[in-house]
Amino acid sequence: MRADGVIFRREARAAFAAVSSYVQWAAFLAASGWSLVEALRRGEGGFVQVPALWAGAVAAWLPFLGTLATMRGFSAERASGTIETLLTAPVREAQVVWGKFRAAFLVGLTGLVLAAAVPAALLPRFAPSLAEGVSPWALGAATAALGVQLALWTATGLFFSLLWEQPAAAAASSLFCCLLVPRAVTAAAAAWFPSAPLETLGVSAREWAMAAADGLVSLAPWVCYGAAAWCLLFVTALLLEARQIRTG
Amino acid sequence: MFEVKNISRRFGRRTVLDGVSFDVAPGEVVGVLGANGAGKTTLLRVLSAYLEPASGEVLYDGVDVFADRVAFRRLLGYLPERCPLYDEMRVDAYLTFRGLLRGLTRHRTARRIRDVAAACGIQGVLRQPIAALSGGFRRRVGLAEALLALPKVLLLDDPFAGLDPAHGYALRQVVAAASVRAAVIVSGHDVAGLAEVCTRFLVLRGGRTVYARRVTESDPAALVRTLTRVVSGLDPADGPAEPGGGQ
Repeated sequence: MRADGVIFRREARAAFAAVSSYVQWAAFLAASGWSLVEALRRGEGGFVQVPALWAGAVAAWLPFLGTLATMRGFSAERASGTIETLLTAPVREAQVVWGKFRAAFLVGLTGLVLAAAVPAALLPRFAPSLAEGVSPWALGAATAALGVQLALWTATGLFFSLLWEQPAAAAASSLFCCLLVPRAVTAAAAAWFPSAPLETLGVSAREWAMAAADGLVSLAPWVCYGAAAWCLLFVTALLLEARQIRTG
Repeated sequence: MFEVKNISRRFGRRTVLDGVSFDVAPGEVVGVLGANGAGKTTLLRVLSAYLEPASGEVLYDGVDVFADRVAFRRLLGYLPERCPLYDEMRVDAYLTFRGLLRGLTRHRTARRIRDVAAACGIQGVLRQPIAALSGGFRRRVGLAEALLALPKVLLLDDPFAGLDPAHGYALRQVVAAASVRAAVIVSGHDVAGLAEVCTRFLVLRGGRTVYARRVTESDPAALVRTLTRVVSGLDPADGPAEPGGGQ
């Protein structure tokens, strides 16, 4: 078995055995469910489809899920010193990052799939009139878009967990980056470069997920989010080689 | 042959290692002694290719270990100072994880776990969570992990700390047995304990080698007295006694 696969299995087992993961999923389901109910109330009589409302509700809370799934990723290893034994095993830094990323992404994806069960399974039973507007294709497209977003939030969380020994500090930095930085960049770009292609730069995660649910597929956000996640993982692997991380 | 050539390492403006050189052949056990902050842990971290030296070389069979760290680590068994382990795992699951990470097959890992568990006396705790282990058993698990893949280079940072005399003696015998096929470097403060297994000693002070000699004394008590004086800075005859680290 490849080293990243060994690390992935250990991390995933530890995550699925931890009570904190179940608390995270419960909190995420509660928050996104509340957002969906509020959106349905506001959208009553409107033209927005249920999958789009669901995608918007989930997208707003997805950075929290990605952050919670990764906040202990490297910070706990640094605090306990296990990073030293991990990095003196015959593994490459990129394999460590990839193994940890996959495990954290799986934890987040589980939360996302559980959240998708709300419109897919519960609405037909408890709100049949609303369920008529739920297309599996729309839900699938929205889930795929949200999955790519989750990859970016997970990569961001992993990056910050490497910078901080305290999981709380890693989580706060990651959330700040996920929630505020894209808006700040968009606002700055709009102010300074009015002719910039804001349809790519300025599409918020929430709007993109809602558009995907409505069948409006645009390649640019997929590429942007995917490439950003990939770049962050690459930088995290480079950072893991940096001597400052290893002097604790 | 494991060779250390003139390595230096700084943390900020502080020099932690300054021109340390020695070599170790399979069958040798080199004891690294020194007061707190002398540079023992940093030296072992550099030798394990965890930290890169600011200057100098670490060679295994003439090849720079930093040229292909992964290949070198396949030959390495390393027990860090704090003996960090994953507390939420069971001992057998942890050793299996480490064996697979070292590239052993599942079957071979299981066989090696049986062997090292017997050698380190941890058969009784294999199914226990690591968090429930005492400090002494944690060290034994750490040593078992270091021995798991039959290393050619074994680096042990203060492995006998916190062990009672009987367990300390037993683990020293394990280290002595491992030295048959590996170059062993072991650091610590227990001069008398290390004198039982080490064939050569290196004493660091302020990151510099102040003493490097083979064990020649027939009187172990005299050796311990000499080393204690050197470590404490009381020996007037400071400086490496034998060029090249006591060859």
